[in-house]
Amino acid sequence: MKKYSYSLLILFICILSYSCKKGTNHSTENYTHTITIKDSLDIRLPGTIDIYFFKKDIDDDIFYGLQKNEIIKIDLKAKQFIGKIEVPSFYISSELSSIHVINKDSILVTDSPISFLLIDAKGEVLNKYTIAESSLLPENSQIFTPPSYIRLQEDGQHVYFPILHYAYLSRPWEYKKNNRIGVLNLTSEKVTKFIIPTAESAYIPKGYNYPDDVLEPNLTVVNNSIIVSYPYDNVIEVYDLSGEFKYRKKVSSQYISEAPKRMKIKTYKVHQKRWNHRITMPFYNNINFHEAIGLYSRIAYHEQPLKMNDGKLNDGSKRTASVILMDKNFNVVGETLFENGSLGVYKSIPLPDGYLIASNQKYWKHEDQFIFTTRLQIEKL
Amino acid sequence: MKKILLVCCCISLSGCAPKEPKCEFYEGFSFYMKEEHKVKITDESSKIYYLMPLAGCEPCVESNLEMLQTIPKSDSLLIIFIGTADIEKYALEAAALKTKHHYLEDIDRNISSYETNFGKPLLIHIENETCKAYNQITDLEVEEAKRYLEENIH
Repeated sequence: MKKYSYSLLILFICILSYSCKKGTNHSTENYTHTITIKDSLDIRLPGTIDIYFFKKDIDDDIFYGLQKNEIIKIDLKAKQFIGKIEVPSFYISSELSSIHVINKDSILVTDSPISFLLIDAKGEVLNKYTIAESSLLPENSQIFTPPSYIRLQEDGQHVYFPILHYAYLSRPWEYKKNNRIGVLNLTSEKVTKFIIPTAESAYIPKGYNYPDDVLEPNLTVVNNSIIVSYPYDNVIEVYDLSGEFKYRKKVSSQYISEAPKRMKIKTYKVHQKRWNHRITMPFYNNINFHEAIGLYSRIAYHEQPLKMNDGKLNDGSKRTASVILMDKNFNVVGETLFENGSLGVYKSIPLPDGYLIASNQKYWKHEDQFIFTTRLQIEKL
Repeated sequence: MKKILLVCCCISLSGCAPKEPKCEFYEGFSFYMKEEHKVKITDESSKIYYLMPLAGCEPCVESNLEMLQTIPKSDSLLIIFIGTADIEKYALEAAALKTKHHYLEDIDRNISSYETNFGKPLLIHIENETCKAYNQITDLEVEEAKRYLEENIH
């Protein structure tokens, strides 16, 4: 009888845990939107592109990207390269690594991990901001160390950029209360404040860590709000432009059953183990807003095995990813799956009605190819 | 009987003990050499492999390139240059080292497909099919690496 009771108890626990797991997934029956392929592009560029610094932005249908230390322009409608903007090299401290187009005559580009340039359509440098200079920093700032790189978002007056303290990389639990977003006022040309500490859901307990690059906060400035998220966390936090907390929401991919595992700090300290963890872990990308349809989206890259069949480390060529679609209140309205590396890691540019994406680099065909070959459109079901 | 049990316990515990951490990535390195350079590292009685990145941590690259210039040529030292140099000075120093030492190249950084713990310069010493050293050499360890090379190449 006792044996029978034990069996019953185990069965009950199994059923309970199964039903709890199911409960974490949102229902796909309520999906109202999906993503379809709208167009394929086959655009060639002069010279070989430097893929790693090839980033957004969109102004009408003109794509601005970085090709080494020049800005190239591509007309997405005409599907062709339409010219480049040359930035005088003596202004560039290191190399151009991110770009944000405010309008045709105001383009922000980072030219080193601690400085950015404001340039016009002809490549004339209108201003240079070096955020590590003491004159730009608030008087009471003692926490500032240069970020690894800057991702710019602007609301016309201010530039918001994430901060990744070097000290934070090794002991994140000691700096959880520190603000993570810097604000540069373009009129006063000063970094006026640091706002928004790490989300509670993203706290890392003592003795644990994640790989360096996923520690940086992702931010989006849109609709008078700052939306902050962390690549290893499924919580989205919304603040007003002054940094005042408004609300938070948990939004998970149906393909990521649990939060990415943390590493013990002993593991983190070994370069190879840190990288192994990075290869396998699932993670989320930035929140994007698609203004033509009023939806938000976030790309989720799914967990993958450490090694491939040939025994080499996984190159991501088979990694699956999905795009989660959300309404204005961050309710999930769709999630579309991309398999076999068709949506490469960090190879997406948000468009007003969809995305421009590149596949994993294993599938790129030509050296002079504009790697973003697929235009996606978000559609109602 | 108790003694026997104690001995058994000790033996089983030692069997569970982790491998020497410094050589934890020996198998990954062996696989890398075989796949990318067609070299079986156990074929040599004693060899020091010096994995030398040409970009990345600048103080590490600079100090290691300079140190290797001071080391005499030896059949028991093989430098593997990894990646390409963005800084002209490093390219020139690497070119000078190539005229002096035995070397291999991994221009496309294929090493990143293997579990070798490569990121900064690595000194790997294989002797009689055994890993004797597997050390990362930053600018802080370069003097120690120099001493090790001087003592162990012949």
